[in-house]
Amino acid sequence: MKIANRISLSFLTLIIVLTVIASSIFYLIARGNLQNAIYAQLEITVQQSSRNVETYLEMLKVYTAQFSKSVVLENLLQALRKSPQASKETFDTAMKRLRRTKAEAPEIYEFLLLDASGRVVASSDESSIGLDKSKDEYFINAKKNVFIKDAYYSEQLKERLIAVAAPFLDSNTDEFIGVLVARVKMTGIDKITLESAGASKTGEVYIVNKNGYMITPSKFLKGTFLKQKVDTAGFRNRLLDRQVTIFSDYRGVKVLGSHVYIPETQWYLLAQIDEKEAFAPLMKLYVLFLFILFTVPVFAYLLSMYLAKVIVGPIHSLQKGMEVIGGGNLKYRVATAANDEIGHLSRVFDDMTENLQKSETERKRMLEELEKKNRELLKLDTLKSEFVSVVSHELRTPLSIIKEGVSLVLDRVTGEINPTQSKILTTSKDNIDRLSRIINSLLDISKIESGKVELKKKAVDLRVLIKNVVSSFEAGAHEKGLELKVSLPQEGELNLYIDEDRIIQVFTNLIGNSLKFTEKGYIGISLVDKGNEIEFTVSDTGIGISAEDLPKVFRKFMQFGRVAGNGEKGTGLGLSIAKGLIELHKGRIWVKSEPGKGSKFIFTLPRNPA
Amino acid sequence: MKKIMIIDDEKDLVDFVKIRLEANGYQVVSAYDGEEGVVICLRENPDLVLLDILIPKIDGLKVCQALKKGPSTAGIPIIMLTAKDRTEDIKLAREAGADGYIIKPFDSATLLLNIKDQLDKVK
Repeated sequence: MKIANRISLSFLTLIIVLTVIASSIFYLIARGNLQNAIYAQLEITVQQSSRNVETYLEMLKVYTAQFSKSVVLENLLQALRKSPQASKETFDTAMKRLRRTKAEAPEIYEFLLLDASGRVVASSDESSIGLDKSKDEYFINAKKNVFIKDAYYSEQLKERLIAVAAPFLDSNTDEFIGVLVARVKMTGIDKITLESAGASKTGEVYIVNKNGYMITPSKFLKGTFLKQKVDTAGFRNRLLDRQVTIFSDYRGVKVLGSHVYIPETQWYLLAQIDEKEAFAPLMKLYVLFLFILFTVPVFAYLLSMYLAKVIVGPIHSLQKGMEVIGGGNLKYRVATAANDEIGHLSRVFDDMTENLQKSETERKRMLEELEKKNRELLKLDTLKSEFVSVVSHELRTPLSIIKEGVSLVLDRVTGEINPTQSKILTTSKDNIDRLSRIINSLLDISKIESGKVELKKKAVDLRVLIKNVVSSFEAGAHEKGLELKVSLPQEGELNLYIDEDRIIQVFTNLIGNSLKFTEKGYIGISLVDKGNEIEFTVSDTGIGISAEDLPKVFRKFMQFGRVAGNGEKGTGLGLSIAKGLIELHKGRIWVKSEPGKGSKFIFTLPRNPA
Repeated sequence: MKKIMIIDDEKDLVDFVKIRLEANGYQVVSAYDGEEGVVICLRENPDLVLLDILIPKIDGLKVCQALKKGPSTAGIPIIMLTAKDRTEDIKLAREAGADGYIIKPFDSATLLLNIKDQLDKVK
């Protein structure tokens, strides 16, 4: 991946991660704070509310207790203790008192005065008189202390009520003589809870009795009185653990709420607010964070692009420079003004290119010189070839003309000639041949030295070759009284892939030399098959070569000893030509000799065609 | 009598060869360059041509090719005279259509023998 992209990606990732982490932390903190604040508020609400409720209940108790000390009512009870029927006066007074007291307190629905057996003996509502309330809770539990009967719905009266009952005790004996029951509408308590709820949309305060039923009205549902069981798992969790501040309420809605226990009546007072409403302010924050989450990366990206450009830009210049120079244009310079590490690198690179350019120029110059020298050498070589062929042609042509001319006369084509003329012409012809031989030798050595000799190789039967060469020397050897000894292996094929004419030339040269320098004895020609090469030997019983001269034998223009008689001096090139030819065949030639004991010239020719 | 044509720029050589051939019973015509050679050849219609490679105006190889193409001259045997003994030149001579070649400097015996052989072939 390109560096720029890598930087962008890393940067972007970092920024996004940081933004997300920061936003999340922020959000969580804000949420926590808000939750705590609201919860604190709810705590206060429930505390206050419950205090109000308790105060109210306490007030009811006191009120009822006070009323249970009423003389008028005691009179009635006492009278009824003595006889089944009390005097009308006592009864009416009691009744009047009950009615009056009820009228004073609008919440009180009814007063009931029960005798010791639980029978309603007086009531603010006449229709209740005579009813048996002995089984009722408020009778059973109010024999010693004031008792509050939990909220209930009276079918008879179609009202939501609680009842407060106080025992009537004989003022003298403290004997239990009856119970005063005040049946109170729930509206008083309702009012407390409603007031406490406050102005929020979903905030409400309500009371749940010990059986888990709502006894104050719900903001959201109708007919909850003693019908709506507030018994959710959430609610139970909350009751068990005060740390649980968010739970699902009786509607199944998640709320933030607090509660308090009212021991008097075993009621739970709850204040709650829908979680949604509670955390509504956070929504704004949430949206803000989303906004940041989307815009920050954009800026981060732009910044990273800039950063990348700053870093990658010079690298690109350098890269471009390298491409241009690598392509062959050594004049190009990156020439950066940057002062950082890459700038420095670029300048070093430019220096390097400068040096490269210089050495390139130098190289070109040297190459040109080399090419010039090469051309000169080629010219020289061509000159050599031309020399050889021109000389060859130019020398030979007049020579052959001369020879032909001499031959014409000698052959009596132009007419008869006398013996003297014949001798003269014969001598002339012989010397022409001699000259030819010298020219040939010179040309040969010239060719060999300039590498212009072409070997015409073919498979040659050595036996045949040697036989032919030897036979050409037989006359000469016989004349001198010398023997020609040929010694070849009896069996086996002796074929070599060689230039026949040239090898004949070598033999001719060696045998010719031997003939020249031997007065008596023999000249021996032999060969040995050594497998990968054949070794030839031309030996004689001639005058030999001194140790001093031995190493110089194969050199050009070397001539040795005096030849007795009228022998040809020669050019001294024969052996060097022979050596050249043998070496062209990839063979070796050397000599063994001792003065007075004769010489042995040995050469090898390889079997495998080189 | 057989007529032999010799095309060679070496006048002295031509003179000597002429004497030799005439002494051996041949009629001889000559030319000193390629152009002249072709012209005279067409005119004289020889029985054999001795042709040197290195001649002016048109070189020997081209003359050889030309003669071999020409309807009236295609049947005439041509012996190339070449001073070079490189296999390459011999090959070129062969390719040009020469019937034989002699390497210069030649001796008269070789020359006479070659001429006789070529004339015998035609018969």
